[in-house]
Amino acid sequence: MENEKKRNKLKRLLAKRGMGQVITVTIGLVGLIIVFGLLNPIFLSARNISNLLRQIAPTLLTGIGQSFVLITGNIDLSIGSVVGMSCMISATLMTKGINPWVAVIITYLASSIMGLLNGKLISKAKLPAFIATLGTMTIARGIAQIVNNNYNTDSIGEAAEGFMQFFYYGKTLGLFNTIWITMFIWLVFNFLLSRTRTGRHLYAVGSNIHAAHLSGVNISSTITKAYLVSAFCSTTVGLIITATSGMGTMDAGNSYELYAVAASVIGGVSTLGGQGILLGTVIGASIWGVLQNGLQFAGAPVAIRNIVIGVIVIITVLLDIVVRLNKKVGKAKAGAERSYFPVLKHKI
Amino acid sequence: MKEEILRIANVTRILDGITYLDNINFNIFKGEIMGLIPLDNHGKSQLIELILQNVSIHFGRIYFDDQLVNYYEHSSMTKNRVYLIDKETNLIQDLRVMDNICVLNHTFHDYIIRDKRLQKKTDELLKQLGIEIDTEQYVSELSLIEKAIIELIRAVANGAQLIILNELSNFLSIEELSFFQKLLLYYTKQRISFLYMVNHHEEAFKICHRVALLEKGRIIKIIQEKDYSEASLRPYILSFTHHSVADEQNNQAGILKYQNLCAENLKKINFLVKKGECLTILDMNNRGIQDIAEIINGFLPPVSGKILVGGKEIPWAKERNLLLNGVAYIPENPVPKTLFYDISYLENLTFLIDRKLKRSIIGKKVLRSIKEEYRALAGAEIEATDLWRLEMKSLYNLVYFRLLLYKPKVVFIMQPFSQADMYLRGRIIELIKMLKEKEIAVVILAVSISDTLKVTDRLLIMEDGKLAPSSHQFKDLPSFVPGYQE
Repeated sequence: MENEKKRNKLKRLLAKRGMGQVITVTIGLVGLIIVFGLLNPIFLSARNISNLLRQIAPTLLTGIGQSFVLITGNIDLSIGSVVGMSCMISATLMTKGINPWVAVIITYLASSIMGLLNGKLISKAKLPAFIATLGTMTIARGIAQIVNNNYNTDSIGEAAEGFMQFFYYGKTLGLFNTIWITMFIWLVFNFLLSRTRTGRHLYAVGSNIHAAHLSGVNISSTITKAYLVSAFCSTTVGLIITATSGMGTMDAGNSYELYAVAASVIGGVSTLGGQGILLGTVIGASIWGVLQNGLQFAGAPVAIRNIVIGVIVIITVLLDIVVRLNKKVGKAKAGAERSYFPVLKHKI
Repeated sequence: MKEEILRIANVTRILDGITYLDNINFNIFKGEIMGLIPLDNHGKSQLIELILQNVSIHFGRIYFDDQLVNYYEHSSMTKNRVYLIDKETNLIQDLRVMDNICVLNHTFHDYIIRDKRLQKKTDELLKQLGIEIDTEQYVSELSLIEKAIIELIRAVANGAQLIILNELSNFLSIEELSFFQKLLLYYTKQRISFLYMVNHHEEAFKICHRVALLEKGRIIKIIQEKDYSEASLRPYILSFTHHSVADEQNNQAGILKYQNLCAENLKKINFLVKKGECLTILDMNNRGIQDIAEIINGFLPPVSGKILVGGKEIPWAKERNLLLNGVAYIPENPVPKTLFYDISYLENLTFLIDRKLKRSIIGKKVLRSIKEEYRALAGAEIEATDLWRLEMKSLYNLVYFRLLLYKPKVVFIMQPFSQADMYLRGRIIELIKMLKEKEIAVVILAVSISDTLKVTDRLLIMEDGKLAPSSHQFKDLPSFVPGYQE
């Protein structure tokens, strides 16, 4: 009985939409870890794994935000700029002597305005997501530049020691705080996406916006929520970068929106909306991080690293298509062999 | 006395200067199935929209559940408790059955989703009807009948009092339709009302309590159940005649042959079709013909078996380029799927000609000669610079003329009469006959038999993915085709 319950749970988990891709890329991830481990044993050392996890955290966080937006059938190109903006706002405030925690709250509020703006431009003003977020991308980067008169900030100083420890350098139970923060955020948003009405509405909007509207889903509010989640995640990454470098840099977060798309897509989030799970984003971000880290250990120059990563992104997506096609063929074979059984045993 | 759920009184609706609904009068009682046969499609979608939502009208009044909800002086734009079921499902494909029924529901207020509770509630709803559908399945994995059932249950669970059913027989097989109709009768006992929109009176007469005829935006006749007969309809409908040419083709060799073809929903099917012959495959369960369409379009590889065109076997990989093998496909509702609205009529017409002539540049001389040849058929429309202003009939002409010009060996047509009004159906019959006259073999894939009989020479019945052992000539049909009345 107990075994059967467990088996049913496993069956349900495997039947979850997007799980196929997650399993495929997990196998790929394990393969990469083995290869890099064999090439250089230091790759699998506890210290490197801890560093690797801390390296993956920003990609995963931005990936979570991008996944929320992609599931609604949209895209967020402003992620990288919001990261930069958060980094500059928080660092500038701290260098002006404002309490770091107050600076953190102000930064979250400022970034949420960007999220709100994105959501409303797309859902209310009906701007294509690509255009709207392209605009806010430039705006956010402009704010990042203007906030300290077009200069990177000075060091945020000793007053921000607690902030730096909390977001980057500190450890809890042997793990860097960055990893704990990322895990906490992932758990909260995974719950939101998979276990709440808002989560269902996000999938509904991405799957069939017309039907979602007819089902009483508030389209504007749902899309805005996705962009707010994205802005929240980007801000957290911005704060991590501030804590890492101890200063604000105007170029922080450059190209992060693309890393976020890669993490989501590799993890099985459909760019067409309606499909994907955050577990996939974890694996996608991990593949990204393992490739960066592993190739560095293997002594590959940056240019080669970029080419390899680009190729791997294409191969993963291609693999997903092949798996889906094979699934279809397998289904066809099974269908040809089985006989129909009545789905409807009506008593009316 | 019977209570009304909907009363439409003297309603006129004009949009952009066109009168879509002209002094419409009709009512639907609680627990009634009211049939509506649109003889032309004029005003049909505007009527559906008007019943779903209280949009502006120019004259008249609308009462819903005895309340005045819309009148010529004030339209509130509010929605009525009405649900529309048609082929384009309103379910969310990427969510599970239980999410669609329970979560995407105006009465659902929980924030945290508790799967077990949802499942219990959904299972109970299905159990009441004796239906076994896995409520954890994603909607995209359901068949069309299952989707329709879930929509029906969802509508009732959402508190809909009137459900509009739009041309069910276009996507449900005879067997499925019969089951679905039982569900409708079950719900009528719970005083749920239905507006059953259908193109064929035979279908409406079977299930509806009354039938209204809509033409040019007017209700021209309401027929009571006691008056149901062909004679009562004769003054209003066109009758299409059949001229079978099957006997002339008996001695010809098959141009297309399916040999032991197997796929997910096809079990060793064998058939052949000859030049200029029209073969109809009637799918009783609405499973196999979808696979046939997917195979010829290269989306689904067959598990085993062969397809021979002109005696040559076509490997599946090459089938993706089916046009090069002389096999064309016209999808259901072909106009938006096959035509390009922003390019000219002539460019649309000659779209395939480069493949036919095996040239990438087509000379002006050739185009001029095609233009003159088809001017006789298409008239002045051949000069149209885009397709936006053309009528539906002209667009259908263009879909078929393009193939007449390309002249493939075989044309597969999926549900050719789907969503077509009576006049358009008459034109489609003529167009299919034109294909046959050009010696093009036609294979009609259908779930409903009506109208296809007017062009078909031979009928194959498919049940559970298997073809019945022998084919049937047109003259044999009435004796065995379910639902067919001469």
